[in-house]
Parts: sequence; structure tokens; C-alpha cells
Amino acid sequence: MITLLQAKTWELLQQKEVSLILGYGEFSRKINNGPEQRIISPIFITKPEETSSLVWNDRCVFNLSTYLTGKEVKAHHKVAIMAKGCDIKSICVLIQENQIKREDLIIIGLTCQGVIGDKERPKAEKCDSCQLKTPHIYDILIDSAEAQTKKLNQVEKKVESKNCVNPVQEKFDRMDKMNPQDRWQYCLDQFSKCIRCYACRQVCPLCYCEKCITDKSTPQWIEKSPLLPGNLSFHIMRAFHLTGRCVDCGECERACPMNLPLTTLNKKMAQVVKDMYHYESGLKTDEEPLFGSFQLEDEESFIK
Amino acid sequence: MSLPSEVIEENKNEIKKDWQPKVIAFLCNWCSYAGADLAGTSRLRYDSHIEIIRVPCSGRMDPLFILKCLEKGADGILVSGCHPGDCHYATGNYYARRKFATFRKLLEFCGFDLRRIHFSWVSAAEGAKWSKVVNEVISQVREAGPIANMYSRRENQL
Repeated sequence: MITLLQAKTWELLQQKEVSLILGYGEFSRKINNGPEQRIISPIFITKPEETSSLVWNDRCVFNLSTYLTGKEVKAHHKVAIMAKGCDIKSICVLIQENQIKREDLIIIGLTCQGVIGDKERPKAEKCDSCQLKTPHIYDILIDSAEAQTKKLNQVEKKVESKNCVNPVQEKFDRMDKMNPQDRWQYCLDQFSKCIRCYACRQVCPLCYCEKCITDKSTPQWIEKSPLLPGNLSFHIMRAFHLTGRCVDCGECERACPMNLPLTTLNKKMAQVVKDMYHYESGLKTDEEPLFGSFQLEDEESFIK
Repeated sequence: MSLPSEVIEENKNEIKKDWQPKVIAFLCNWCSYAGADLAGTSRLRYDSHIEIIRVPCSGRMDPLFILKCLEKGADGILVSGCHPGDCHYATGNYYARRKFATFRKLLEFCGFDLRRIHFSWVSAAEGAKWSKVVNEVISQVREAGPIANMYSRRENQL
């Protein structure tokens, strides 16, 4: 059976409207010599006949917009990308920051009822507060609500029966309510665990600098060994570079092998920016970036 | 002969007794640096535990400079620029203001002691204000104590 998604993408490639499609594919893989498992992985499609491997379901968790700023992808004239509402927000920021052009991109918007989380949690944390189940910007809309609703009902039942709390939200609330000394200790405890694998940076669609400040050694700005206080500087700087930009896609925390509360800092900064400057990232492509603009009446009570 | 641990303890106390704060100040070339100069030529007395780094504009300040200083052992930071509307480059300090405000909130959320981070607007004519600001900042950093204490972790982890 050919799905609407496969038919549309086939058409795009056949008529040479695009030369590359970034999408989700489903494959059988043996993991650690165990039984074969069906896994979802990002795939790059250049030939019409390959579109038959494209799928869209609640296991498509990846934010594919990470690849858009890569050299190999930029070499293609027009690119089509499969993106959920949350992914389109990061595409929106990339367009806003002149990293990609809207006219060079065909966005295949996916209506989404939530994707799966990790083993302990059937639904990803970010989906609880999702406002963009139907994307706000797209060229082609793939509506698979029907197929997903079934799964969603199952998921919701599971969530209810387990009475799951949202772990990300819980971490955030816990940290937010602490007194400053405890919060500082919590930060030291958490960030001393960091092994500086930079998975959070690599997976982030908005960390697109060709040379990251952490990789610079003349002069060295942030210590590279995985120790305090260098770790703390790295994570504070990471959060600061994403202030007013992070769209809370949650990929950093998903990729982190040490389970650090990375989105906690990002969430807090999004909240701060919303309170202070009424700014929300990833919703409009023509908006001035937060730090590229100012208001005369901006907050300055903290300045002597 | 005292045991090594006692020696360390003694040294610690010694450091505490003799400890003086080290505050790094980033001053914009056009207002605050001239303001500090005026304080000097006017023979105003102020706490001397401050080291000044001149930057072209407060808009040049990257929060990374602040982190780097703290990482390398500065006990406190002061960033000072022109009053809003007076910037030599017209708008540099407006952009800086946003950066500082959000950066300060980020440090606050991490539980960082805000007595160590200060921002001020000091014009070229405000030598007296400069000496007042420096004294205020250094007294707050003295209260906060040596930065090295901040990285000692508690035994019982959260």
C-alpha cells in the first residue's frame, strides 16, 4: 500500500522539484545479535523509488532540521523535509537567522498527536505542553491523525494507569523551588557528571556554528577536561547561546548519555525571555532576533 | 610536627585571614573608563582591589568573558558602560542591557551568588559615582568570600 506521504514525496522527486528528501525510514536491524527489531532512523532520499521506505508514526522522534545546516544538505538546490510542529519551530529560527532560505525548502508538515518517550514513559515529555499538533508553517500537510489516534488512546490509558509525572517538568519544578544554595549544589552535582561528549551540541538544530567556542584553543575560552568549573561554564554558555532561540524540542536531553537536566536551563530561559521581553522563539520567520533588537524601556533595575 | 591535614587546615585559615577580593571590571572606553580616570585625577580614594580591563563598548561584552574570569579565580565582576542614550556607537549599551539582564537571570537560576556580578552605568563626568560603585561592589564581594569556596561540594548529594 502506498501512503499519501510516499505518493507526495515520489511526485516531488519525479518532477525534480526537490533533489533531496529528509525523512524517517523504518528498517529491520539486529541489535547486539538479538532478534530483529523494527527501528526508525533518519534517511536521506534522492531517488523516487526509495520513497517507499518513508514512514510517519509516533516513533519518529528525531528533529531532522539539525541536518539542514550541514554542508552536504546545503549542496542540494531544493530540499524537502519531514517535520512535526516542534521541528518546524527550529526551522523557523534557522530562517530567521538567515541560515537557510524559505524558498529553498519544502516543508512536509506532519500533524502529530505526540511521539514516544523513553522506556519508562510512553509519551515524550515535550508533547504534554505541545501547542502545535498541526504545524504553523508548511507546504504539504500529511494528516495521519487517524493512524495516530489509536496509538494515542493506548498511550493515554497507560499514562493514566501509571499516573506518570512528567520527569522533565518535575525536574524543572524541583529546581525552580529550591533556595539558591541548594540550586547551586544541584548544578554542581549534575554538571560534574558531564563527560563533555558534546552530544547535546551536535544534536541541537540551532548549534550550527562551524567552529564552536568550546573547540577554540587560542585562546581557550572554556576548559576542555570534563571537570568543574569548566563543565559549569560550558553548560551555562550553552544555555545562554540558546536563550531566545531554543524551541524546546528536547533533543539535547534525549541525546545526553549522562541524563543531565539540560532542558531545565533552556526552559527557564524561555520563561524569563517571555516574561521580560514578551518574546517567543520559533513562531515567526520575519521577527527580529531577541539579542538583535532592543526596546528603550527594557528592564534595567539591576544596573547601578 | 603537625599532620598534613592540619597543615592544610592552617593554610586555609591563613588564606582566609589574608584574603583580599579580586574584582575584574570591564569598562567601556568612552564613558566608564574616562569616569574612572576622572576619579583618579580628582584624587578620589576607593578600594584598590579592582583590576580594570578596557573594552570598546559595553556591547562588546560577551558573558563568556565573565565566566572565564570567574573560572580563573576572580571573586567578582563589574561591567560598566555609558548611560542609555549616551553610547558612542548610539545603541551598543541597549543590546548589552538585554544580554546582561538575561545572563544575570541564568546565573540566578543556577544558584550563583549574585553579590559577585554587578553592572553599572558610569559617565565620563561621574568620577564620584565610580568610586562609590567600586566601594559598594567590593564590599559585597567581601561578604560573598573567596570564589574557591563556591566549588566545594557538599557531602550529602541532592
